[in-house]
Amino acid sequence: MGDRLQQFGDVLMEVIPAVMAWVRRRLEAGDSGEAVVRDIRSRLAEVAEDRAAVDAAFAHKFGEPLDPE
Amino acid sequence: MITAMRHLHLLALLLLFTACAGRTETTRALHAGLNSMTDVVDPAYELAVTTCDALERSAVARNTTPDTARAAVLRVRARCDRTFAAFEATRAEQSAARAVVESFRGGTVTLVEAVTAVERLRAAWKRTWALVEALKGGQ
Repeated sequence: MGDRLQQFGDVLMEVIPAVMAWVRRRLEAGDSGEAVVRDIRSRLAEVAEDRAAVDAAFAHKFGEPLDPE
Repeated sequence: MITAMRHLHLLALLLLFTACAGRTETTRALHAGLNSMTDVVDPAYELAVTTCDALERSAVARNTTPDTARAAVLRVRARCDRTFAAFEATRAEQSAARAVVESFRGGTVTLVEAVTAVERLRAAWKRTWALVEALKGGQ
């Protein structure tokens, strides 16, 4: 998951000047910051949180870790 | 073949639009198209995250031994990882398409390049949605 996030970040870095110009223009046009953020948001952090909760539920139920490593 | 024809059709319409309306209006139209796609992609991503979480929790709840539960959760995670990777790829295509459309506005890329970027995004989204459909159907 970290690799994918890195790849996503790399792509963003390549296009960031033009994307920032687009963000600025949208804000100037009256769009909310929330709407702009929603456009570019990744949900990988949310997935990681969900999985940590499932790992904890597994450990609670079976008394051992989901991923022993 | 059909996709290529649609592409040409869209391109012809945009070229006509550009001739009539100018670069700024065409850029606005392209951005409107990208915004519409975001309106679809964002809730679908949320749906996929929610569905995967529910599938994992269900795998823990319904299995009675750690080995079967572990195997079930890891199967779900592998499938969901492919789906999330497709969403991230779609996000990257969205950002790239935004950038190309902005460059079109600035006159540094052609309309064909801008339309191609939008088409790439559309193709990425089609692949992503197929994975979401498979998740929803439990395939």
